[in-house]
Amino acid sequence: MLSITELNKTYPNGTQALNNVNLEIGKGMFGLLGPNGAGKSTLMRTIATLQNADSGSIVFDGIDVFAAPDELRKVLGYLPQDFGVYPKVSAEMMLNHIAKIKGIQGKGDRASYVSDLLNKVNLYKFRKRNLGDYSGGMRQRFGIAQALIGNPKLIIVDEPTAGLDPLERNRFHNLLSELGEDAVVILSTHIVDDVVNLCTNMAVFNEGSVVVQGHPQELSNTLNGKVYRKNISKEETEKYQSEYTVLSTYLRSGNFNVNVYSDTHPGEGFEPVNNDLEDFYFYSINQPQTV
Amino acid sequence: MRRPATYIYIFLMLLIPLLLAVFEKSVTAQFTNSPNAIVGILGGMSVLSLFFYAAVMGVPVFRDEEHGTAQTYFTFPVSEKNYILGRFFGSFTIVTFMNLAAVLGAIIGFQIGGFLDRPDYGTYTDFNFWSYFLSFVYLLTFNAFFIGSLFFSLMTFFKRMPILYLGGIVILLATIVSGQLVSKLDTEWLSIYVDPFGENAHGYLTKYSSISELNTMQLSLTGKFLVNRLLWLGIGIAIFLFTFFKFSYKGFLVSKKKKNTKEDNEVFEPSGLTTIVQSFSKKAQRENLWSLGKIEFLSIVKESVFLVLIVIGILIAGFVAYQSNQIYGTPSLPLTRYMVVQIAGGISLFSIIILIIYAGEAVHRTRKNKTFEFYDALPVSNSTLYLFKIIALVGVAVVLTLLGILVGILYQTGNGYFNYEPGMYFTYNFAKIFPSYVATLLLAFFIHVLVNNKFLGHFIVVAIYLGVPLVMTLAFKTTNPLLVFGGVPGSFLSDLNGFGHYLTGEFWLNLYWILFTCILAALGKIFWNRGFFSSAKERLKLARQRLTGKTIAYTLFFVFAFISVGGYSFYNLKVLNQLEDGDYSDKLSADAEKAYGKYMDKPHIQVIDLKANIDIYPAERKVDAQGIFKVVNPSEQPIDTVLMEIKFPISDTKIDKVIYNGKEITPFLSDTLYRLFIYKLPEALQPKDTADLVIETKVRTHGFAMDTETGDILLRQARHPGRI
Repeated sequence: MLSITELNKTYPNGTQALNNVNLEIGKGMFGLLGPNGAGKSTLMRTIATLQNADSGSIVFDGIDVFAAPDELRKVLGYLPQDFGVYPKVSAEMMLNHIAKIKGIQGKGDRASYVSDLLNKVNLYKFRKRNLGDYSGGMRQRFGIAQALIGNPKLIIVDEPTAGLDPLERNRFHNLLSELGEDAVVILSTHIVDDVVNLCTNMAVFNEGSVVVQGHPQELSNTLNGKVYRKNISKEETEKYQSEYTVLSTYLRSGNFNVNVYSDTHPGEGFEPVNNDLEDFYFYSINQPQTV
Repeated sequence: MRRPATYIYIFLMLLIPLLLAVFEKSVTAQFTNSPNAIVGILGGMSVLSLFFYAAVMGVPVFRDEEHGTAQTYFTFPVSEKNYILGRFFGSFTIVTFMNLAAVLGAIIGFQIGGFLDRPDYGTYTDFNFWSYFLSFVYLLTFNAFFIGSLFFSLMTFFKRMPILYLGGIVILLATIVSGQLVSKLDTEWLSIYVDPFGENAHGYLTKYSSISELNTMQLSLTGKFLVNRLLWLGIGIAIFLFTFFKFSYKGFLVSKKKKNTKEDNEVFEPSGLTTIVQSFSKKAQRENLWSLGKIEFLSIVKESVFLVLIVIGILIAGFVAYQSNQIYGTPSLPLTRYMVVQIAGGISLFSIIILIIYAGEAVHRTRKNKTFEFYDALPVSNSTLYLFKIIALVGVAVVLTLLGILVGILYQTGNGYFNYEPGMYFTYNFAKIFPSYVATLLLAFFIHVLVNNKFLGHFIVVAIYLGVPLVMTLAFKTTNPLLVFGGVPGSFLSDLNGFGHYLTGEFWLNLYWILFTCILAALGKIFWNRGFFSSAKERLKLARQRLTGKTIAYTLFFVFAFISVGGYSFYNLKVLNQLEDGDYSDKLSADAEKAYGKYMDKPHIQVIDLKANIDIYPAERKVDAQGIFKVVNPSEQPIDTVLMEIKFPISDTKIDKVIYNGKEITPFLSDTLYRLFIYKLPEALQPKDTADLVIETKVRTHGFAMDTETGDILLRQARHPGRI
């Protein structure tokens, strides 16, 4: 169980990245959904012992993260959003090296363990290739492999699918879905699909605070019957934005559409739609999105 | 231009010539601020500014590559040629500002110097615009252009930071070599071609100038100096044109390296391993420390740039050995004791440079290649993350020390000399050279941990390493090794005595400095950057958090050891022996002259016969001497006093007994500071009369001293009865 209490952080340039964040996260896949700049990465890094907060506390399974970061690191798996590699080292060698640091002694055991892991992330065929020659998708898979070493109890995955093509994204989802059986997994992303597909629990995070927390389907259902769509022209966008609670504007089959939120039927030209998590997301962050 | 570092560079380029000018001293009739002196300062400044030129001109293109802005720029409607022109001249403008700052600094410095009334600094002449302007153009600007083009070109085509270092080192070497060449008659003609900065070429031109010429002649493009300037300016232009024409966007972006598409078609066999054991024991942590250290060490020594630097170092060492193992042009046998000293002289500066560079690289490596993002979240303690780099660097220092030994042996073998004396090699290198490497790398490491900008860090380290000894010697006039970083007492290697007793003193002083840098290392650990930090304030807060009991304990341990060793050394150097500042002996002489000058014209006795009994105890380093003199009064007046002055360099030299005509006499005036004693004779020695005089002296040494005790004891002893 991960308990985040009253977490605050303000950067020297005045940006308040974390504003009284409170979260309780249990085993399973937890989605942290929010736009770019919301402060998700700051939160992820703070949990991963890479950053300090101004005030508040983070406790995982009895470990106070600020007081005893070394203890947390023993059970942590972290896939950063943006990481570099040693270009001239092979994947196998690098994983072996990290496995050693994560405490897996015994050369033979370690080698077998690394092989199993490489196979799990579908990189066994490429294990002897230098990391510098890996494609984007392969690099992300390597990233998750290193995060999984040592069967961590807390796994933090920061924007893992950004930049991956649909096939790779799918592969990645399959990988991630196997986790979370025995660990707390936090998936930080701005891609709603990731959360829809993978997470049993989620929170919407914006401007440094938790906007809403709950089960994805349940949260989505709160908007049932209250989302309507209308085909409009682009010039009318502003007019609609001032008159209605616009959730999003988008093109579909070449036509310009607008989704609005309304308790009652808004009237002429609007038709109710099957709302999804994306609508709920836009509703939560309270800004019309041009998709 | 908006980077704060640029302002720091400009400020430093103002400050350094200023300080140099203020402390410039002329002991001849040459004006302190003669055109020649100005050339010296500004020309020298060109060499120092190597760092700054590199940072300003080499880095922008690299940054475009690093930040990926290159690709964006290249899509703008800017032609490749305009891009190059823009980047180059943009940076060159900044460099010109820096050069102007240097000139301004020199002007202000000399004005201040002239304003302060310091007669022993020489006389100042009036401000002459041309002295400064000509140096600015012919030295600073030309040099900046050459260096700028070189670095700019290197970075544009190689895109790797170590190449920048390599370029800088090669240039520095060329300067040093040309300096060597200009001092020897048969090679001085070569120096003008090898000197990129023009300073030595100018030196060659003015080698035989008279003082009035130095005072009036302005820097001008004549003779060999012109050749040098044209040559290097030409090279600079050639490089620039090459870059200008050869640069292509595509070539810049496309990596020439072939991607390795290794694939293994081996079928995966599950190992059936179901459980693994994770161990975080102390033993495991220590093993991690070693394997991390090993990886870092290998990544340093396997880098091609490192290997090139090593090769250059070997060549230099060989060259220096060849040049200096000659007595007025005749080569001597390459005895091991020559080899160790000369090789060390050649290679140690080079090794220090390598260590400083790689200390900086080690600190910033995981930041630069962005692996720190997941490294810092791994279960590795702060100490391990910090220490493994230091271990790797110490390993590099060992390699460099062994290299020095290897070069010596190779040189001897190459010359047909096989008496290697490995014991001497190892003792010399590991007792003298290796400790200085360790102290320097620890200092560099500490500075880089504190300062985030790599170039600034390098500059500060060099400033401390070179500047502190300079300031101590020039401004404070002290050679006290306790104050001068890395200072050790003098020593002497001889065939008779080998290392003699000097190793003791060196050991203590080396230990002193290593302990000092250990304190720095312990402090550095609390400032180590782990993860993401926002500001200096946050680092301070983090540092305070990291001041655990254990950290305080071993910091205090180092401090305590440092003070003890320092105290013991101080006791040896200053209490048991003598170690005074430069002015002290001048002042002493001045006082003595005032006090005893009146005796100069008085008649003195003359020695007409001498029998000397001298007992030298080499193991105890003491001397007992007895001189039996027959003296005569050559003047027309009776002499009733005898004046004795001890000139023997060892401080504890005492006149034990003086017997005049069978009677023991004691001095009525003893100046133990100046070591001058005046004795009244029991009866006056009449003109033309002779007398017997027996003088017994004892020389004792204690502990270790700063100065060496040279072997011409016999000579001194005979001259010992000073101005009798």
